[in-house]
Amino acid sequence: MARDLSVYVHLPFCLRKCHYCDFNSRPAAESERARYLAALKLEIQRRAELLGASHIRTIFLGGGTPTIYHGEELAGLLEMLKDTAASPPPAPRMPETGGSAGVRTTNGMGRGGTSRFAGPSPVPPSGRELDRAAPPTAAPRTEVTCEANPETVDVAKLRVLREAGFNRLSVGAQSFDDDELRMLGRGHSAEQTALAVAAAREAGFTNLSLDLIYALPGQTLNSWRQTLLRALELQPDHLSAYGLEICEGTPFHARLQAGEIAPVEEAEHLAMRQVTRELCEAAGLDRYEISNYARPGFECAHNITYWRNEEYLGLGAGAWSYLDGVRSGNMREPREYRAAIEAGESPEEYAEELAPEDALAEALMMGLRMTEGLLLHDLAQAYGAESIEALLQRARPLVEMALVEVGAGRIRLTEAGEELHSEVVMRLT
Amino acid sequence: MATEAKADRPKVVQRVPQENVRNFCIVAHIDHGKSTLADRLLEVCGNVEEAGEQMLDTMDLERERGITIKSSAVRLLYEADDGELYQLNLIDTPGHVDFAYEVSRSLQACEGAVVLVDVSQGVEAQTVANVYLALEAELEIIPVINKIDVPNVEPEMALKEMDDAFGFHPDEIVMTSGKSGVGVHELLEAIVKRVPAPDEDADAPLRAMIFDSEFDVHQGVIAYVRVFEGRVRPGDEIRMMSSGKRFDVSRTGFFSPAMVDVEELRAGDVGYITAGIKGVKDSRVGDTITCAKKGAEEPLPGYREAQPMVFCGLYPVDNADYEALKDALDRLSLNDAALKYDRETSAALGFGFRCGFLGLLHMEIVQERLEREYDLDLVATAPSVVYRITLTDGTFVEVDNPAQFPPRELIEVIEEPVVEANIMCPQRYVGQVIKVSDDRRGAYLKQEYIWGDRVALHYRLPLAEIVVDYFDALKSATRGYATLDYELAGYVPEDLTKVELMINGDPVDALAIICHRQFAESRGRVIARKLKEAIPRQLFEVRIQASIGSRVVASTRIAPLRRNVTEKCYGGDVTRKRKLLERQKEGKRRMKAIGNVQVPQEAFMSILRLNEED
Repeated sequence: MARDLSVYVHLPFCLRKCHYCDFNSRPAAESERARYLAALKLEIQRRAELLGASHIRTIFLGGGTPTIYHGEELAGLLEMLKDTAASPPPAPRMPETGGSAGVRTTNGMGRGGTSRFAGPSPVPPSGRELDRAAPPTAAPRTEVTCEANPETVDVAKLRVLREAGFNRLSVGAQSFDDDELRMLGRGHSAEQTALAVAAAREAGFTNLSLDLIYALPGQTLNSWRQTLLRALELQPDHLSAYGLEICEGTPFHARLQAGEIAPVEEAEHLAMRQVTRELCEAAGLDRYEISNYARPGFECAHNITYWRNEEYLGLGAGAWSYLDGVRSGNMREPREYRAAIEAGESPEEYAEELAPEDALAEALMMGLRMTEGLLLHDLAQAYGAESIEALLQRARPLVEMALVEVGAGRIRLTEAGEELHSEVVMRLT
Repeated sequence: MATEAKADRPKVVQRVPQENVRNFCIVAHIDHGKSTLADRLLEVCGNVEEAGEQMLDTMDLERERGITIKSSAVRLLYEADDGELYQLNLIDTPGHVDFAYEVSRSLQACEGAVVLVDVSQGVEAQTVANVYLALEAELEIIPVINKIDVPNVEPEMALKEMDDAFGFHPDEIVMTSGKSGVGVHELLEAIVKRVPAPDEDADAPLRAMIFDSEFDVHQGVIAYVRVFEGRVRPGDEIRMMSSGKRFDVSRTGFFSPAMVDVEELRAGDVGYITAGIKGVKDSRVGDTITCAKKGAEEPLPGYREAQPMVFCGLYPVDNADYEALKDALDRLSLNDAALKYDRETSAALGFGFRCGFLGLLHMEIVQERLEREYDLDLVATAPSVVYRITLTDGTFVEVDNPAQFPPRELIEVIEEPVVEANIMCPQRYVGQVIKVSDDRRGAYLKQEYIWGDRVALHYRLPLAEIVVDYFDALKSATRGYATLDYELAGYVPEDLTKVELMINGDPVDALAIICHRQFAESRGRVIARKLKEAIPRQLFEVRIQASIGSRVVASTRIAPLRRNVTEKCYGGDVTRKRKLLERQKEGKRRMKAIGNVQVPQEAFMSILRLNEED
């Protein structure tokens, strides 16, 4: 049996750094971007055995701004990834890639993911199927997402992507208020976002997501409502809405320190979340994770891999993998990463084999982000009945406080509990 | 270790006649360079190769705080310009007002005192106090101005202050630099020439005064003694004159600073005795050691049992650590005769100990050592003094814990301890000192223009105010220029009352304080606000109230936490996020649960830090 695997590819470059951004992202010269891409392809080759032996469920190109690259470059990258995954494993299956029970104990949550999903992810028919070389079972099509910034795409480019096999586009809209976009340091207008969405539709993207940020300094409930309404007018299939987190090292943080901006009050923030939920649901987008909304069937299968604590392979600078109970991360600096790859060395700079209690903590932390919560039966199988007994003991006061619900074989957070996710997880672990 | 030291430095064990013995100490204000100068003396006399980092201060904690808690005694052999060999016993003295009694015993062991003044700081209040103590002990005083290597500082001011304060003439004053070694030779010569030799009877029955003692796990207590009469050697049976307890002497010797055994200590000598003594409580500072048989009739004068002045509750954050805390206190007290502790139970905090200390510094040191050396997480309740209460039925009680204050209707009179404080500061800060003192119920006694622009202000102040924040307030009001020195001056009746704090309607005994009725309401309000700041938001509303008797004087609430979520969390965030939560959880674990409210350790002390709001 091929193992299910999600693949994340990090493209850490952008045109310019946004004022709130603390991601692994930076502007770079075109030559540097090209060398990085070449290094990335080398890393894919190195992972040929794993990729060939796996059933690739999802691929996600994230950044940075992946669409800073030419359509053909991204198409070529995907092509290579597909070809590598399609090649049968070059050598007899090594035990550690064969899913032997002994080494996979900490990753028990990863099995049989899609069957627990609210509904199978019906990726619209498109392009070539990645799974053609996989065992002839009725494997679902692979979800292939590319992140895009409005100012870096047009119909032609998006067509190239679509034809190459990308079937999901995640557009970084962030706001539909031009003043707010300027404050955020974005390189596009609200109008450009609308044009990018139209172009994506025209290019054949039938699974389209918008990213929004709210709780901006100075933002009112009403201006957020306006942004949301304009976003929903564009009829996205999926929407992610994140409260702004002001991180150290960002220009926003400096301005916060200088007293020039103030974070939005808690009550206001909560009201914004409330209005998000209401408007999205009215538009047919159901919340399925703390910050994510989708038309039924359009939930992001790739991200669900993370939240269900299932296996994934990360490629590129700063990309993380979770394989065989080990979390590992590549060097963050693109140049360092590239240099390591070019020198034939491992780009990995961190690896941790999770102890069972840490694996359970992570499974809870991630799984409780999802509205559906976690199946107790699965938890008990993966971590032992006793630790789940203990978990339920710890859950009791939280159930009394109406932050956690236990029932129908599941543990999940209530709406109030989700707002206190960190607090609740601390008490449950 | 002793034998090695002996082998290395044979000349130190050489005996000299009593007339070539000089016993002296160095008195100085904190940071005036005492330890550095002492190390330099050791170096010059060949006791150590090179002055290290303040050899005489042994505990890390002391080093960090730049103060000496315990005194030590080191023997130096000095070949003077007259060609004679002299045995110099340098007795180090503690430098903080909490340890005034220990200072007085160290002085008693000497015939001379080197009074050290920092050239740029001049004479400080504490120095003056210690010089008076030295004069009372009839010591020959050698004034020294130290740190003369400091650039751009002229010694004129310090010289003038030495003259104004004590009448020392410039020609008597030795100028030194502990750092560069300048003047150290002159100082040694002055000690030899000016400090008188002991003149004591070695054939009388033994009388040796303990001026310090230290517990060592291998040999029990090491008692630092000054032998005034008779002699003592290993094998002798000795008797502690305060308790009558008897011990067999196992070692006698001196520090070089390593331990060096000698076959006997005799009248005039300073050195150590070990005798299988299990804890410093059996070897009290100031006590007299005599021989068990045909011992002296009378002890040496001046013995006083260390009297704790400040009390607080110490509780483990985790109740399971109670035994570990008890064990740690038992072990600490082996080396700290002044530390008192008794079991105590608090409704809010569980099982713990009521602990008595010489002063706030002593309290902080003990608490820090318990946390650091014994790896305990502790909650310390606000320090309290001992109140004397006469009840309506005529009985009389002493209460050192606000939680145990009798109900108001049963109290006839409350008396609180007061101190006489001597505050020295430059004249321009007199107004501030008066304000700080008046605000803290100080009664002005007198003011003296001692020298230059230096003024000494005398106040009578409640000890409780000193315990709270008087010294901090003085320091900040005078930009650090004021110095404080105080001594207990009895008890006076006062109109005091208990202020209680309630969390979610339940009184928290550990947060109760006693204060003057006049300030009770405002203190209650400030404490409620401080607690609101100190207690993190919980998952439910927390109400905080302050009450006097049954009357609520302040009420505030901490709104429940409603949002604590990382909204964006994907594959790359998992480990980092889990570790962040683990750290936060660890932080919570270090808080004390009162009912179901998590209260951080600092909250219990923060109720005392009221100065700016008052």
